[in-house]
Amino acid sequence: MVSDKILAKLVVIVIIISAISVVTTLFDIDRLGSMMNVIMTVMGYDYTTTTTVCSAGITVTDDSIDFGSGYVWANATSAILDSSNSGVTNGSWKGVEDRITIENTGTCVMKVTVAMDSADAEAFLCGTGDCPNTATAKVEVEIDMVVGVACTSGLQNTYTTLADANGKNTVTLCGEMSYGSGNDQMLMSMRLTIPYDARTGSKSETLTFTGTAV
Amino acid sequence: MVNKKFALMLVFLVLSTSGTALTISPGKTELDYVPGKEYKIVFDVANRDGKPMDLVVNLSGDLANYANLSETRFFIDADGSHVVTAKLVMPTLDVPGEHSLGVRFAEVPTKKYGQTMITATVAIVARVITKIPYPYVYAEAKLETQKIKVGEIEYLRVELTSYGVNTIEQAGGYVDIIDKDGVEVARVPLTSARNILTKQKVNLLGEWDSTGSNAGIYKAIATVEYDGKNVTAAAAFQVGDILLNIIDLAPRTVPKDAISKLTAKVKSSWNDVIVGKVGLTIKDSTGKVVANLVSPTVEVKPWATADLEVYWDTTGLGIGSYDVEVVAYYNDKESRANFTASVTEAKEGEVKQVEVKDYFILVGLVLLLVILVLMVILALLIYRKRTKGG
Repeated sequence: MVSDKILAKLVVIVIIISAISVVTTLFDIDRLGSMMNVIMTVMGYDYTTTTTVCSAGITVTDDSIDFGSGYVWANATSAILDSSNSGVTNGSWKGVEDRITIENTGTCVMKVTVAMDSADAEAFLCGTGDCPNTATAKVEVEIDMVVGVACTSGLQNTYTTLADANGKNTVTLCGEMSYGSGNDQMLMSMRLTIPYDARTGSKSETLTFTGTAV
Repeated sequence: MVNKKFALMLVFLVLSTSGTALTISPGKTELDYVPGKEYKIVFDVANRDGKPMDLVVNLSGDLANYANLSETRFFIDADGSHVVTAKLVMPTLDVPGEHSLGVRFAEVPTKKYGQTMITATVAIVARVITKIPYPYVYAEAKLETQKIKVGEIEYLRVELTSYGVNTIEQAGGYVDIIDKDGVEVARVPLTSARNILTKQKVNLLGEWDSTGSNAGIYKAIATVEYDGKNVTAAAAFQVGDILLNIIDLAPRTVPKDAISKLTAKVKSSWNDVIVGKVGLTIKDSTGKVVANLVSPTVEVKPWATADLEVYWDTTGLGIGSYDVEVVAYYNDKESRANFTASVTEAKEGEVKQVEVKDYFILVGLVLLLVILVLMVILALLIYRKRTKGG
């Protein structure tokens, strides 16, 4: 026969296990640490002495810059494609006007930079073996549209070299990018210089946009 | 010698960026400088994108050697979040000023072989900083502004923080308001503060009345003088709204069965260049859309007017009036205006009145015609010569 005391203990154990299950199900267990932090701070314990200044967020939108297909004119050494004004120089491309949108979605003023994954512009535009007869491949970027006062300092509003035939740079697009609706978006255009001896076929590249709280 | 054969090769470029979004909280954290103390900073990493994200984390800055991370690579589901903890044991630092730990969260690009694309990835560097007081009076300033309407008061707030060991006895200053052309339009005095202790923050306030000013972007530069030193801080602010007004559409009467140029006239009410274009939606009396026309993108200079042109082909349309909605697209904004245009019976000589923009085509056609006429004359002359000779 099971006594009332044992039954009571079993009930308490079941309640504790249920409570733990509910807590770990409702909250990610990893967050318990930070929750404890908050609770202890509220209770007056000096667990950590930190001041949160802001949260940092960045969004890159706009699905594509589609330059399409084309070739360099026979009497030219390179063609230039400009996505800020659909300009095409010395090439058969149709020309496209398009931009990549960068948005500060946090509450920190941010420094925003962009960098390319490939070692240089030839690795991107010329393909395997680079361009054998030229050293003119180039990728340039600029911010040519700003919403409100999205950039209060250090705006890169003229084309600057992200990568050329010899190497690549990290380009600061804005030294101090604002946040808040109506003042938090910048649009980036690209200009490509494609040498006549670029290999035919598709081209792939990764651009990394980095936001640093300032 | 350049081998021109290569010049005929096709290069296909689709620079495709999939939208990507990342949020880190806290993005910036300030710690008290207490040598030997262990700090634990919990970062909430949120993937605000509709696709899963693979992330790597690494440390930088002069405090990086005294910190470690709970993990250096993790995966977040679409619209999910994750927690990463950084622990920092504050070292003994000798150099006054700011010392920082950068915690970089970077998206790992997804390889998509066989696709022609540029992939955009994002990275955020969350900063953890501590400041060691300077052994003298020293202050840093931050200027805050806000967007206002024309005629409203711009309230300027300078947050001054003392980062020196010695107390600042007195601080005060002014803010210069500068327009787009770099012209100073006002100097606003700031309130003053006294006896500012180490790490104490004080607010110095000022007001600028924007009555009579033009809409646009202005720059504010604050200069704060304290105990014989000075510090500056700058910020930009917006007065009024960027606006491209559609003021006219001409002509409003066009011939039937012809291609006619329509010009939308727009006027800028802004102190900077606006890049924009217009779109026209033309509907008949039943509300059916008969044409959607888009102009090329143009730059409209500050306060200037500009003509944006589209071409309307009225072939097959009935005589009568049509509703024309003109929408100007600029800086992520739109402005609209409605007009009525009439299609009338074409007068003699008006049918297919094509306005050819590229005059080189016209010149080419004329030259071709001249060459044809010359060839016919030449053939006639040869024929006559042979006939006479025979």
